[in-house]
Amino acid sequence: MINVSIKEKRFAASLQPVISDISFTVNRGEFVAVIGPSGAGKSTLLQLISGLDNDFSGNIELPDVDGRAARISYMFQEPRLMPWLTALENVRLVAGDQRHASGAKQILENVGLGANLDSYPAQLSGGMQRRVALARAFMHEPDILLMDEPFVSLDQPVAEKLRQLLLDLWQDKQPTVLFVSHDLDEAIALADRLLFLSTEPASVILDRTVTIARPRIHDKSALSQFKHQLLETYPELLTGRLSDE
Amino acid sequence: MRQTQLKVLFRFLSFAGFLVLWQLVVWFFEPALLPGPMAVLERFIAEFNSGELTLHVSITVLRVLGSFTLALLLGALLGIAMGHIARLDMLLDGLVTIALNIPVLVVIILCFIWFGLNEVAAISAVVINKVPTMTVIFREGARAVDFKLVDVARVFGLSRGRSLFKVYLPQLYPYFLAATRTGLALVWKIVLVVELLGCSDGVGFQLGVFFQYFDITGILAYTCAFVLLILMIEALLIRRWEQSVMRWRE
Repeated sequence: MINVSIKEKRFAASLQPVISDISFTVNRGEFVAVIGPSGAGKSTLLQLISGLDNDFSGNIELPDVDGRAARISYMFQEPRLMPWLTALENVRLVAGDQRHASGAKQILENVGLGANLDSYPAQLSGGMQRRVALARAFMHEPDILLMDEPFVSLDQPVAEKLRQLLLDLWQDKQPTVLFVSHDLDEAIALADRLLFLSTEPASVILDRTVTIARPRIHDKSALSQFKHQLLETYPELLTGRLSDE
Repeated sequence: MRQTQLKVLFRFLSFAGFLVLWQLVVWFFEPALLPGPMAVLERFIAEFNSGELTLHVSITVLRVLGSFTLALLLGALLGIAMGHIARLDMLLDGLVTIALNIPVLVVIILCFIWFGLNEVAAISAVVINKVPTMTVIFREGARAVDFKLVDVARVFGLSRGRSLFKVYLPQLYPYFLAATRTGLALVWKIVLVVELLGCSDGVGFQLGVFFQYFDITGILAYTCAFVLLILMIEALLIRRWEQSVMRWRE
């Protein structure tokens, strides 16, 4: 179980805090989406949980798995592939020496890049680069998968395909997923639970379980019904407020 | 492919044209101080057969490679440190700028005076001359390092070795290449001056001897031998390295 309780995060003592009082827990294997208006500190939240940024007051507990520290994979907003490594080398990069690097080929084939193993990132389209990044994230065999709007600025059909791919991989490997998004439709389609953030300084304003049964990604009517109900109750939800006050 | 063939052809044509022009000038004007290309070639062969040429050229090449490698390493270490540590940069920036502007000759003379006429002085003179420019190149490189990629290495828990060789250093390879190209071209010129002033062997020393006897054929024969060697190092080693390192940019 991930236990997050951040009291405050500022980038400089003189500036307004970006995050104040966020606490929530995520169960093992759960898929949680974090939704908030842009600039709400969502990316910062992932930076803190990943351990890339330790400069905050509060506490983040990541569970040990089988007696070792939890393995984290992070899918950034940009693919962040090494331009000098081929698709295959990029995926192998994160495979520990002891774990079999041979799985890299298999994972790339699973994401539909079997024909592009030896291509450099510059030779791949944006969608393909993200697939490599997704393959890399799963190659690491993560216990916790952090995703920062990984499918933003992609064509709808491509994004749709990648979401399906993500769900397949998630159901297969069962990592705990924290998925940051500003797209409510995407979040409802993917997640077990939705956490809504306020505008800066960010805090959790609503914690809602998605009750639609899986597989649901193609069940457009159920998805939009859930969204409408949610927005009817909280019309200002996506701007980071629960009510009009 | 056709483009490269055309390039080779033109290169050959310009080179051959130069030789023909040289020979024509010698035939028509018979200048006392300019031997023809054939005379230079004959001298080259004679010097090669006597073993003198090989001896002096190999000594010079060793000095070039040794001092170049040392300057590259020191410059890389200092430059990378200055690129990443703002305070160190503030501290040393002024000194580096001054060092960049000290004339080559001054450094060479001082090294020979302080360290004596020996190999240490010769190598130090070249290294001291070269380190500041290397430092500046690597400082640029370190400043351009993309820490977003380094974050990837950190979050995925890559080993130190992998982070260094697969994530960090590849970002500096273009700067290693730039430093090698500009560095090697300058270092061998500096080495010749050093040898002229304070060594008793090497191409620079030989050129000094020829100068005293007004032996222009000898000077040209040694120059040709040395230029050819440097071009070969460039074509065989550096260009290959560049191609293998820069493949992903195509």
